[in-house]
Amino acid sequence: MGASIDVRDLARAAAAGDQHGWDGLVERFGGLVWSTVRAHGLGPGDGADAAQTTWLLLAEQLERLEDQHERLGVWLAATARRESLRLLGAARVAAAAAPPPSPEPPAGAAGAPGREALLWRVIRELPEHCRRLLRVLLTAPPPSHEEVSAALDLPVTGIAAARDACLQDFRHRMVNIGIRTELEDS
Amino acid sequence: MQREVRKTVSVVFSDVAGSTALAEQLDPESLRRAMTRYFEVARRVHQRHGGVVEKFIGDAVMAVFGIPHVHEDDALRAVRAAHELREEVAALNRELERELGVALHVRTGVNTGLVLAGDEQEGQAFVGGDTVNVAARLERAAGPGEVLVGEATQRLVADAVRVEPVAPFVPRGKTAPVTAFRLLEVAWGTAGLARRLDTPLVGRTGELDALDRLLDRAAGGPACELVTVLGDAGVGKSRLLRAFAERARERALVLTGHCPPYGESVAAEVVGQLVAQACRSGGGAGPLDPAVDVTDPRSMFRGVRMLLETLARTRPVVVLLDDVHRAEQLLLDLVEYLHAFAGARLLLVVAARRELPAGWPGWNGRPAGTLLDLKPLTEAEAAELAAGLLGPDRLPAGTPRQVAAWAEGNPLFVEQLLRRLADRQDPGVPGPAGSWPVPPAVEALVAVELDRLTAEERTVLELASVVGRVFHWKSVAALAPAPLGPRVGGVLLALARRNLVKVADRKHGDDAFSFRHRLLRDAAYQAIPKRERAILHVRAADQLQDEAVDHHLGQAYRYLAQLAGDESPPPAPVVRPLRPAPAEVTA
Repeated sequence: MGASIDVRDLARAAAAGDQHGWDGLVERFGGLVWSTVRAHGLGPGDGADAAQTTWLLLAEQLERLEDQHERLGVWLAATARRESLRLLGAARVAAAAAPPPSPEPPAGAAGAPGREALLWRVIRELPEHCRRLLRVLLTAPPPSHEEVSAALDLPVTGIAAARDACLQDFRHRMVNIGIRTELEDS
Repeated sequence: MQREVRKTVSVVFSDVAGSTALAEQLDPESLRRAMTRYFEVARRVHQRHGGVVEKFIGDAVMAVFGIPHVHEDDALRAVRAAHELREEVAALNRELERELGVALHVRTGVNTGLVLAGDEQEGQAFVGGDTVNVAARLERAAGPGEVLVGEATQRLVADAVRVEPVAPFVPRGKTAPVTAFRLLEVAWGTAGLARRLDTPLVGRTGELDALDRLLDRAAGGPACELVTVLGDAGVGKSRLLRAFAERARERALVLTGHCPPYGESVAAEVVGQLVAQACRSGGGAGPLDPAVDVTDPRSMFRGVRMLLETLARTRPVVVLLDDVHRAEQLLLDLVEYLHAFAGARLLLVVAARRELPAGWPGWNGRPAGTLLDLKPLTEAEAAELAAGLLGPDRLPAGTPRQVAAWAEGNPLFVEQLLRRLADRQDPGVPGPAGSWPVPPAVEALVAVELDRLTAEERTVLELASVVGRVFHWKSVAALAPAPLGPRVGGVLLALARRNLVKVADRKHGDDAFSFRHRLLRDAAYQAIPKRERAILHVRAADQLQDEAVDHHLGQAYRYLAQLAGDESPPPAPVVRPLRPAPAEVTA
């Protein structure tokens, strides 16, 4: 399905000015670019800037990138990462380093029972590197390990092990808050 | 047990324009009486179409179509109710003008979308959200006496309404513009999205032959033959009836009755359709004997029988009754009565969805009647249908086959998907099949099937959907809350009888089931609130110990992160390459 569409064909069509080719690339890699900038701690506003710059660079350089068309996802992930770091650097100069934003429970959950709060805490307290990794890995359509490696500057060979460790960590935290009995109680 | 579900509903939001000025004009007592009458009108109109008046907020009325039960035509019901409310308020105004010298000007917004519906038994039928907000925003943007319809609603009712677009606007407090349409007219008796019954029939030669043989038998009578055509929504029952009618007309008088989606007396309406056609046929039959009292079953049954017997003296008669799953008991009684007593060369063909026997046990167990089980088309047939609907050269060569695979042999799904793909700005490239949107009409059909289940069946189906398209009895039992565990097998068999799941191929091992259609699995899954989905995936990872553990943990994390606001959808790039080589970009 998704994977059966050849990225090279899409890139070639897009470079020739074909809207459908470009749309196909956006459909294929939009999630990857976005999860990469968000994984670097950029908020929705700065994140959108970094993502738009990434796509702008691709639009400008698509023709010249012909030898990389096959690995366009890797190029996009690396570019999104570079743009994110550039924006982060600029932001740090502007304001003394702010901690990366933590997800807050959605509005309305404030008065919710303790069980609910525990669920948000599992997400919030998962180590930062796990949240970054899972955010990129769980993007739809799923990126390749090479793409994840480029997005997060991690060695390709360590990604599977890191993912397993993070998922197990998540699982233990969920089990610890008594998730096993959750549905039977409610 | 949790019974919150995510579901698509249609919301009608109405308010009285200029009510402050009205309050100045009238004595509080008169104002209150006028408003009470308006509320009564609104409640009656919404109820007539199956809507529930969820609340009155000041002078505003909010009605919801889709709770507690969804209907496949909820959007059309909502639009009809909004339209009719406008007409009935006009009638009310004539009285109010005469009595008090005032008139009410009602603005209405209609919107369709996802809500989280609670357990109605606990008095928490419904939680608001963006779907309701947008309906209210549309109401605000409407002029006095106007109905504005949101884009999602419009897409579901396109063939039954006349609308004109209004300029997209950004409501206060929102960021994205809202697309809306001004409702001008609603056609009665027309489906929201018309079926394509005019295309060449694909497959079904065996079914047509069987019907031909039954007609032979009836014609050689005098005997009344009864055949029930059972099949899933969209599988092609109406198309088959139409094809058979064309063939049968050469040697028989064909009368067709169609059960309306809702209304007060389906039997009387269907009998009316048959009698009107009989009169036009010139087969020597006049209208029903004036002595017939249609409100008295015995009188009506006899009247219809004698009419058909008179017609059948000249030539055999075929009576086709479509959508009989919507019928009330009286119509089914009439069919049984005719089958038992009509001494005429008569063939009765009853087409209905599979829920018919569930509502009327024994319907398909009757020894004298014949059952025709209409199966999905084969993939090759579905591809042929898709190619026929597409016409030449519209889409890349592989598209019909991909569409057929997606639809899994259901002609309605083929039709609706092609329509949805064509709705996209330029249908030149349909995009990868995996990214095709589920057409809203198909989504609504599937939702209706799920909505009909008992709480227990629904829970089991949802648990199964977490496991996947193919699932084992033991996996679902492992996920089930303790009291349900031992009953899972029985519930799964009940779901198989309802044809929502089927026994899976032996290659999947012992006691494996699969969802009848991928879309059923997706709909069951997506109806589970994300929080429960996450919890179920963690439990699945914990209990199932198979290779899918990573998948389950990943899904669980994904949904919790989404709920925690940690994942927003990517913004669309505002750039694209230009040709020739770009020196500038559009922004």
